[in-house]
Amino acid sequence: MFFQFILSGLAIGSLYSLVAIGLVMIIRAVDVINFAQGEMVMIGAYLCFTFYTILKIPFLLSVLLALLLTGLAGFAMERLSIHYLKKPSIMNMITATLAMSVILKDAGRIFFGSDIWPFPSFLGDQAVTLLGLRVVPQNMMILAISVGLMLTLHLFLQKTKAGLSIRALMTDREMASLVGIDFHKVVFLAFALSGILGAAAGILIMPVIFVSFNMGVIIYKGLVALVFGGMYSFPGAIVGGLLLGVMETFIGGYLSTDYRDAILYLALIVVLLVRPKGLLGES
Amino acid sequence: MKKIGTIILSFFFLISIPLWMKDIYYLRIINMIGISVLLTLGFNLLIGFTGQISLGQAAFYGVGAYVSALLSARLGIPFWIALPAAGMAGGLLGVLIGPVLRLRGHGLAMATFFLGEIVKIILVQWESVTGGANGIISVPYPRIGGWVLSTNEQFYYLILIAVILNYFVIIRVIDSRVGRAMQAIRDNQEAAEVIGIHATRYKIIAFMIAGIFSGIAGSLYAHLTAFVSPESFDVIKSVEILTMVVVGGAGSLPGSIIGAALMTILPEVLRIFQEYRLILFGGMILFILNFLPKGLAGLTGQAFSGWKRKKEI
Amino acid sequence: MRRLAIVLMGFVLLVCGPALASAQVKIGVFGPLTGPVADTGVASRYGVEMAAEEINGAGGIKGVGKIEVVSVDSECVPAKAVDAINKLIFRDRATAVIGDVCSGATLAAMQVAAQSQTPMLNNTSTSRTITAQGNQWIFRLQAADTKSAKSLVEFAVKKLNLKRIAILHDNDAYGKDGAEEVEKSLKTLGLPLAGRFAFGRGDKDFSAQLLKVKEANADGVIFWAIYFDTALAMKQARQLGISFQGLGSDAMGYPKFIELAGPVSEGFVASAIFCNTNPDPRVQGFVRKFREKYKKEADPTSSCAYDTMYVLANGIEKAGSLDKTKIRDALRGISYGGVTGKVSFDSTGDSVREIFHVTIKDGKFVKLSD
Repeated sequence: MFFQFILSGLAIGSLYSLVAIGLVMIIRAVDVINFAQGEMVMIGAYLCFTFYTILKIPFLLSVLLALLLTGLAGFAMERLSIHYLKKPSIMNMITATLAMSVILKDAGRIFFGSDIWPFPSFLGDQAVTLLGLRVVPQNMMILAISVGLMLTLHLFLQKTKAGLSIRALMTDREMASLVGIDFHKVVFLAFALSGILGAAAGILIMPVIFVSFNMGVIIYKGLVALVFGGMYSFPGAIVGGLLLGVMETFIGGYLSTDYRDAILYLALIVVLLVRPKGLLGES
Repeated sequence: MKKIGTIILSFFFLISIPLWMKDIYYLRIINMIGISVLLTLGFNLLIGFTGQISLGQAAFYGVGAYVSALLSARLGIPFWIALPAAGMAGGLLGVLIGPVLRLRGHGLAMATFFLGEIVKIILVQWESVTGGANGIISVPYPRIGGWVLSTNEQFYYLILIAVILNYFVIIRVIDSRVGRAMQAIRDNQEAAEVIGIHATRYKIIAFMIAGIFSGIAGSLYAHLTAFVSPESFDVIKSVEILTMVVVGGAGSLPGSIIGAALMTILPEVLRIFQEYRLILFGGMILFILNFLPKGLAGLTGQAFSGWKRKKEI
Repeated sequence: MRRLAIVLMGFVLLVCGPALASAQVKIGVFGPLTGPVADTGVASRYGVEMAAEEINGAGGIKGVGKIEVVSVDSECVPAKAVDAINKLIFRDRATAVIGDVCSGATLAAMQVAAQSQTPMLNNTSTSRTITAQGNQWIFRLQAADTKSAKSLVEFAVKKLNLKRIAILHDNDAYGKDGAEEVEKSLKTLGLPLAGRFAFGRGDKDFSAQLLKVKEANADGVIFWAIYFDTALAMKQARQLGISFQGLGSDAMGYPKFIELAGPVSEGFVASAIFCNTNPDPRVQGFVRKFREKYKKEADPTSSCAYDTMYVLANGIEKAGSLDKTKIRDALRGISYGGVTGKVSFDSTGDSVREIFHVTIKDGKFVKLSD
């Protein structure tokens, strides 16, 4: 049972990691916690669902379209909520992204309806038995892709010019503009990327958690994962998400399901106080 | 002279409202505005004047509401003791949570968010005390002397008194050494510490005061609605309070009143748009944030002056 | 001559005016139209509106007038539910109201109904607390948890011969109250509880709870939660290789449950007051019409809402006026047979009705004989 817990924990954790990656992207670029990231997940999922299930567009094309359109949505979201803020204080930006989240969520409800929809798993729903443990292929795929995404992003940030500019921006905005990095272009890139990341998360996890306009609430778990792993770190997002999943399962399994979340949150506050950079934090 | 005249006129206007406003629907909304003003004033002190971000305000509101409800419903303690007790409970929570205020920025936002969630979970799970997810039903109406306060009109006066008193308290706090220290921390925490201001201590004081105000607001809410349940005190409520502070104008007391009033009235007014209500609501918030950087208070051109004297440092 | 005509017209309007104006029977409906449980609030509203349309199409409420339904969003938040019911009663002058979906919102709004002496009917809440407050103005149409839990447990033990039953429920009022009722019923029957495990509403992973169910060797699991959580849990149980007889409250009687859970829903047993495959022509007519009009499948919420509007209309007809007290008294003694079966009320306003059970066979609900 112990090992099954771990496996299940990793499975759900990888969902959280995916959401957290999108959050890290934005926080690194413009130092904002994007509370509307959950809606990027929702939009990506709904778009893919609409294209594939309703409009019968071939799967890969549906995925591609969904990713691109959500990337655009991410950019639009930034423009509409925080771009023109004259005083980009934390409190203003948090309020702005929260307001955007409300708007997008309700727009989702109006556009897509208030129903909940299933989506077929890419690798089927059946579990297989490996070494005495039940493993669901879809979950393993999610895990693999999360790690893959993280590695790709890591390379992107380290090796490509665009990635370097995002990192430069984060480190020192004034210096960055002095060496000719266009702030606006970078912000565009960051938000578009996070839109794509959110959509990827949505598409991967919708077979597991169903499609609904309220899907975005998974962002709360993403935030927890974020804090666990250190807010500015991509590997941190992965580790944080997996850790959250495993801890959830263990605390729920061995201690108490009633107070499970309270215990987790308490642990997080301790982490924040003791190691504010998170477990894998880098600044 | 003109200012005192305005104040007196406004005062008489406010007192007269229940005499000509007989529609219960509106009266209750006005009462909820009053309660929201208390919440907003308190948290404006923390967020606007001390510059600390918080996403856990509903916790204080909830604790105050439950303490007042429990004391009066379960222990038969009279309202005029339960109310201050609720305020103290909120204040106590502020002090207990205080150590978290060592954090800054995003960390503080997340920590306060988690704290709010923890409180809510306790409210739901600690059934033997809190009545669990079903809440506490039949919170008794306040008895003051021989009077029973059960109608919206009667509550209006009670809430009005609470708002006026709290407003004066907060003006005094802001004008005092404590208030100036808080604002110094907001403007530049490092510089403030250099001149000897112990940042964490003042942040805790701000949190405590916000807690007291919220506790009182919670008590009023509990007795006005005669019912409390955990879902009224979740992160959405915290976000509403934050929005009231920011939209009204952080750092502006009249702004808090405007912000609270607008955010309470707006959803009701927007009902005519039925389907698009929430989208319009969110849109207006974004508009105000982006184009009115000082919040609504900036509109009146009285962002920092107005109802309190401004001290030049 | 013209002036005389005008005067006469004015006279006629003066006399008939009020009669024409009072041809509107305003019924207020409040519930979550936005937010996480919006689908239930919307289903509720659709049921009420469809019934009102039918009644109006047949000429309205006999002797009183046509119905106008005014619907207000309460977001399932108690404070907003109070605002909603205030608006309906004091601004819109509703004769009676139907609402809310969530028990907290209902409990808060109920007090306003009592204070303003307005009949309030509720078509979704199953919590015992609603009718235990001594509130004389509330009428509950759904089957209370106390009754449906007892019925389900008896079915599980006597008909399905289950020996070790576990409870899996969510942490909301709904899940906790229901779980308690199930536990009580098991105790009455002298059956040991294999375990009671809670999860958060909206949780996506139930492996902790499911593995404990496996450890407890339960042969039956009674779910008391909303259908999407249960669907997810059932799927995960299959993936984990855990098998048991799945049972649930009537929250699982939604066609969406079958859609979301897929093949793992086969054989699931739920308590019910409505079965969409009931051959009764009235039920089939309702299902068909609902599907045509709203492009949605009829479910326990919309069907009960539909019956609620009819019950209310019958009460108003019996009272013969818009007098709220008369309507309340008329409702007390009413007995109505609708698509959810026959319903009447006891002295606390709680529903008295038949509870049956359905199972899922070949992707459809099938009524089970008791």
